[in-house]
Amino acid sequence: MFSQILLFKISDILDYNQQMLITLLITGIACAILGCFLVLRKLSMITDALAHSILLGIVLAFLITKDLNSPILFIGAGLFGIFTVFSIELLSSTRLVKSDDAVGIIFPLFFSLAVILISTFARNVHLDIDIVLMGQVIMIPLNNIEILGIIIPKAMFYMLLMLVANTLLISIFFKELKISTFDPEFATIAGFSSSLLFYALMTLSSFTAVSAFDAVGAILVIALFIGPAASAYLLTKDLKMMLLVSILFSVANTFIGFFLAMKINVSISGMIAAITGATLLLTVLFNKDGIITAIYLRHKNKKEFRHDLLIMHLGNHQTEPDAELELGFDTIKDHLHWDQDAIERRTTRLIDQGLVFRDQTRKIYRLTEKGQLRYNMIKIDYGM
Amino acid sequence: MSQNIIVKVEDLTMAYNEKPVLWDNDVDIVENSRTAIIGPNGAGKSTLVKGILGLQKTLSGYVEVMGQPVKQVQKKIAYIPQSNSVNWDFPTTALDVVLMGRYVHLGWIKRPRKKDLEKAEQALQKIGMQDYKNRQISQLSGGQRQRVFIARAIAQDAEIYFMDEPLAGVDKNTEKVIIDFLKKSQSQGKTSIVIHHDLNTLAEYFDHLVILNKKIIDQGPMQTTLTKENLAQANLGGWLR
Repeated sequence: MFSQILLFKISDILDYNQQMLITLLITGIACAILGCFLVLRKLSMITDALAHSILLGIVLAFLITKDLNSPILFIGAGLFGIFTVFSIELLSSTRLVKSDDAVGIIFPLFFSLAVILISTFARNVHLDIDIVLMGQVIMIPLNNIEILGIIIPKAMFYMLLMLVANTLLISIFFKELKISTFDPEFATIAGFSSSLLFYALMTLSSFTAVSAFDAVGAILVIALFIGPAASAYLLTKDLKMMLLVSILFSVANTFIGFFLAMKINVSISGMIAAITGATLLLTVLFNKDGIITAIYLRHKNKKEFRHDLLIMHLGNHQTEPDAELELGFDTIKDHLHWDQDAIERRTTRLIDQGLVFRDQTRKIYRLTEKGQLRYNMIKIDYGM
Repeated sequence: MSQNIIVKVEDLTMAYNEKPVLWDNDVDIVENSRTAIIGPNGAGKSTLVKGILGLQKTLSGYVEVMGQPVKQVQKKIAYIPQSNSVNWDFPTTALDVVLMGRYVHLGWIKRPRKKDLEKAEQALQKIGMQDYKNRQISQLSGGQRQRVFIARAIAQDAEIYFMDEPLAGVDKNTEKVIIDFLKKSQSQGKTSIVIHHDLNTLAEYFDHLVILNKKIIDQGPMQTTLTKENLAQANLGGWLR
């Protein structure tokens, strides 16, 4: 009776869509902040392996507990993720296979074992392969648990738990994580065990992946870990800033993906993963060292350089006796080896800028006072 | 100069997959010396340093630094790794890397304080890098990166410096800065152990020498150790002008 009164339902304040969206946002942020360290440590592939292998952990734990909602499932699968990382590390430490290859051996092995087990023993349970890959965002509001008198979607609760845990780890051990990511050997000498921090990071990644598994599936988990962090890495110069920007990316991706998926009625997690890929692509193209930016700058520099060159030519020759030939309205093109069009275009531009004028009496182009100053600056710039 | 042994290595053997890289080595580093370690490629120079520092497993033997196991005196040891051993695209600034030198004294969880920041700034100043303190490390040249590492060691207030080829790929100016730093440190009573690759500058830059080729060929003061016979034995003979 008493507990009935105190019972508080998340669904009283949030509708289904809001519950889904908020759970996805929490998941995204929890993944993005860990993802920054995973990206900096070049552990993207291990994360991939981890996200797939925990399926075997889930299946094994399920075969023991026979209950998909058991907390043992959560713990078992999380531990299995760490076991996966440990196996990969062990295999690559033998130096018989490279680290990349170890990932490529372990994770298909575990994943396929899980698929075999599901199809043999758990055919009637809702552990389908497509759900494993893409999750079931739509089911988030339907699967509720009671925690301390609050009825909350299970996925939302577990993700909140992981967000808190991840935030705590990163804020308490920020200095240690930073130094062991940047320079593991120095960190070890300074007394911060690199392998301890590595496994702490991997443990939280594993449990975060397990928590997110139900809702968003293995593919989106990887996208959420790596995408926002990789985008933020391209844009920031400071680790704290990188964490912040990765959160912004994650939130934006989730919002855009969610509403777009709703609008055109497609898989929500698939759409968020696609948007994550798209924003990363845009960042690769348009960041300050990006491909498009580089092309634009190269083009712009080329243009600027031609204008500088013209100013140099005018400056060098306008006081010389051969100025009429070198700088003449009709003859300058022969000396610069440019066509008349280019001459017109470039001189017009420089005249508009007030750097050059047409000396109608001598029929030559000449520098204005401002142009003369520019000429002197160019000489200094190019070291002449 | 005192002849106290500050780093004592006894019967050290190290291996990769049971294949020994270093065989049963005894090394004595003299306190307050500038000691160079030389040897051909694959001689195990870096491995020796990593073994001394406890960064790699040893198969036999033990190491004493200042008469104690390495773990007890780690705060007093600064290690300057090969420049390419870290990710220079890491999102951080020169000052922040130097500040990491102070972490040694902070221990777990505690954050650097104002005093630590001041030490880091002073360290950058000492090697002429104060103008670059807010520069992102990816935008530093090879020489500047090496100086940042040196500044990190200065900020650490260490007694012993271990450096793995600090002069590899740096400009002449940086080379001079680093050597001046080693000489100045010596005058302050500190010891440096440096893996070096240029035999021509060896006698000028250092006063003690360890010649290594999987086994110790010879070690001791520069004048008596840098001999043609020793170099020939270490397969380094062809290098000397």
